[in-house]
Order: sequence, then structure tokens, then C-alpha cells
Amino acid sequence: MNYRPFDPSFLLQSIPALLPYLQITLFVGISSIVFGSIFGILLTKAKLSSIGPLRWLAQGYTYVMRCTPSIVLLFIVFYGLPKLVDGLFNYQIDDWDRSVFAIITFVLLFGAYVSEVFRSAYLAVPRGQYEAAVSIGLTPLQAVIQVVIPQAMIIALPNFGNSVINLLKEGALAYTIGLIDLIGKGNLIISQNFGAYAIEIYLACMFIYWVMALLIEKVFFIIEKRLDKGQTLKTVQTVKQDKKRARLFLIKGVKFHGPGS
Amino acid sequence: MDLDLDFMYETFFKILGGISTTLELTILSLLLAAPIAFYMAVLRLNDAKISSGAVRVYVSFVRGTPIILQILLLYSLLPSVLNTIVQTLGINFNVFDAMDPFFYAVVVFSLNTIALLSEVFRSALISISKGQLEAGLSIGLTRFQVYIHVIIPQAMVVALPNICNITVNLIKGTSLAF
Repeated sequence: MNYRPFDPSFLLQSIPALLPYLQITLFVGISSIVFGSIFGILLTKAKLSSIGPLRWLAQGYTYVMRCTPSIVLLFIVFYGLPKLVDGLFNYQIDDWDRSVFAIITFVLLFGAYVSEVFRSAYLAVPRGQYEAAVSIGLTPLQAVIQVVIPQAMIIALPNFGNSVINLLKEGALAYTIGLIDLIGKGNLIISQNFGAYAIEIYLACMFIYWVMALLIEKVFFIIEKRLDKGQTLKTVQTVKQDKKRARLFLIKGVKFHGPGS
Repeated sequence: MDLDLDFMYETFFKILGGISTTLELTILSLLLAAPIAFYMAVLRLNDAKISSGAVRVYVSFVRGTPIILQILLLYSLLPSVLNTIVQTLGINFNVFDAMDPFFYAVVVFSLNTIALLSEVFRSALISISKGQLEAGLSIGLTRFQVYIHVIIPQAMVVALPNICNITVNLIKGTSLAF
């Protein structure tokens, strides 16, 4: 059997064809992040509440969600939810757009993930901050919103960024329910070519995802640096110098020699 | 809407039979990945310019792309590559019929786990102070012995929670191999 050689030019050609569908991937991703964060905040509130059953419910939910592979949940929502709604409210949602089901799935998942991130960040702020704020005459709500949450946000940021990248990667699964996003379109192009060029198309998709992940990582890094500024009482200049020094130290100081050398 | 409970009960036990495949896949991938990942971690700590750069790009690529795409790519790439190898070696062996998809799944998850584990090992090795290595060398152990008897036992303790996380994620990830 003879094989067509790998064709890098097709890889480059296919990227413009794929890019318009990045919108759909991003639309699903961003709406899941927005609604998922809101859901996560509610879950966190339930987890920190003094009402026992509410707390157990939120914790149980998070536990179940973290143990469920996302593809299983996606199938359950896509095939099960229309049946459930039909049974309960006698209302047909079979013809809703597939992206809606994808978003519902990822909101359920993302909410559970970030509720843990938010909870640990909220608990990481010392209790004294809240007490100090209340003692100078803020109401408890004001104290939480103006004092505790801004500090908790910085702590939550790196983990939140990781969750966002993970969500976008898991969002790639949405093509399995027939949503035409980036990979869905890639699969369509492959079928149009009778199964040829699969390697090139998948590589193109991977590059787009890779660039996206790197960009998100960078953005979160910048935000973190920005928010952290007030905390350390350092000017930007000295932070830069410190970083240079730290890098030198890493190269010169912690030099490991393995068995291979 | 009514759930068919009898059917659920029946299929539950049928699906339970698939557990062995999932676990085999997970354990095989972990065992294959661990030594290579460790070697990569050591490479990066040695700042060997080219190889450590290559490892960094590889790790970033694997972590930045969805695992489903890695599966799709390698599943379409590996059979042809293997076939070419077999053909050039002149062995009469039909790759497309004889190879079990299970084999490809093991390769994909191993490659994925290598990248994740190498980061875990690297962070664990960094957490061990350099004095441990120097002390070991100064009492006359070889570098290899220091790693085996001194550094790895300490680094393993640090790495264990992360290895546990990776294993759980791997078990969940193997659901995509269907």
C-alpha cells in the first residue's frame, strides 16, 4: 500500500477554514464560565452556610460531579434532559440547539469545580480581616464584599485560571453530541475528503487549542501580577529586578545532576 | 417518563465487566509513563539546553490540547506509521487487522501521562534540597545510588498526592477511549 505523504500546506490551509468555528467553541466556553461561576458562587455559599442539609447537598453534589467523566455527563444531559423535561412539564425541548445542552453540561461541571476553588480561597482569608472590618462599623455584608472577597479573589485566581483552561479542553467533547464547533467542523472537512487529511486537520485543531491555552495562561498571569501589586508594597521596577535575580538563582543555584549525566 | 429499572439492573452488570479494560489501560499507561517521565524531569533539572527545551514544548503541548484531540490524532496517525515501519522491515504482518485498538489507547494515555507526571516529578525533585545530593556524594555513594536511596524516597512522598490526582483523572480520561 502506498501512502500520501504528510502535507503541511494543507494544515495551513485548513486553519482559516476552521477559525470561524472557534467562535462557537468560545461561545460555549465563555457562557459556561459565566453561568458556571455564578452557580459555583451559589454552591460555595451553600457549603459555608450553617444549615446542615444545604451544606450536605452542596458537598454531595460537588463530590458526584468531580467523580463523573465529563463525556458521561454530556450524554446524560443530552439524551436524558429532554425526557426529564417532557415527563415533568410536558414540554418538548428536543429541538433546542445542541450548544444549549453543551452549555448546561459544562455549567454543571464547572460550577462544582470552581465552588471548591472559591471555598478554599474564601477560607484562606484570615478571619481577623472580617472581624476588623465589622469592628470599624461595616455591616457584615459590606465587610464580606469590600474586604474579604477582594482578597479571596487574588488567592482564587491561579486555580480559577487552571479550571478555565481545563473547561475549554473539556469543551472539545461537545462535538460528540453533534455540535459543529472547531472539532465538529474538522470532522466534517475530513468526511468531505473521504477520510483523508485527518492528521493535518487534527493537528491544526490542536495548534489552535494550544495557542488558546497559552494565551489564557498569559492573561491570568498578567492579571495576577496586577492585582498583587498593592499587597507587596513593591514598585514594578523592584519586582522585575527580583524576578531576574530569582531566575539567576534558579539556573546557578539549584543545579541537579541526574544519573544520565 | 419512566426509567426501566430492570434494564438498568441488567446493563449495570454487563458494564461492570468493562472495568477490567479500564483498569488495565490505566495501570499499563501509568507503569509505562513513570520511568520516561522521571527521565524527562531529570533532563529539565539538568538544564541540558536542547533536550530540556524539547521537553518543555512537549509538556506544554500535551497540557494545552484536549485529550480527545490527542486520541483522534494518534488513532489516525499510529496505524499508518506502524504499517510503514513493518513494511520497511519487510515483515509480512497486517497492522490494520492484527492490532487491537487497546494498544493505541495505551500509547495515547501513556504519552499524555508522561507529560503530566514529568511536571509532578520535577516539582517533587525541586523540593528536595541540594544538600541531600551533596551529602550522599560526600560519603562515597555514586550519583545513581544517591538518587535511588536518598532523593527518590523523599521526593515520592511529595509527589504522591499529585500522582493520586493524575491517576483519578486518568481513570476518568479513559472513558474517552470508546
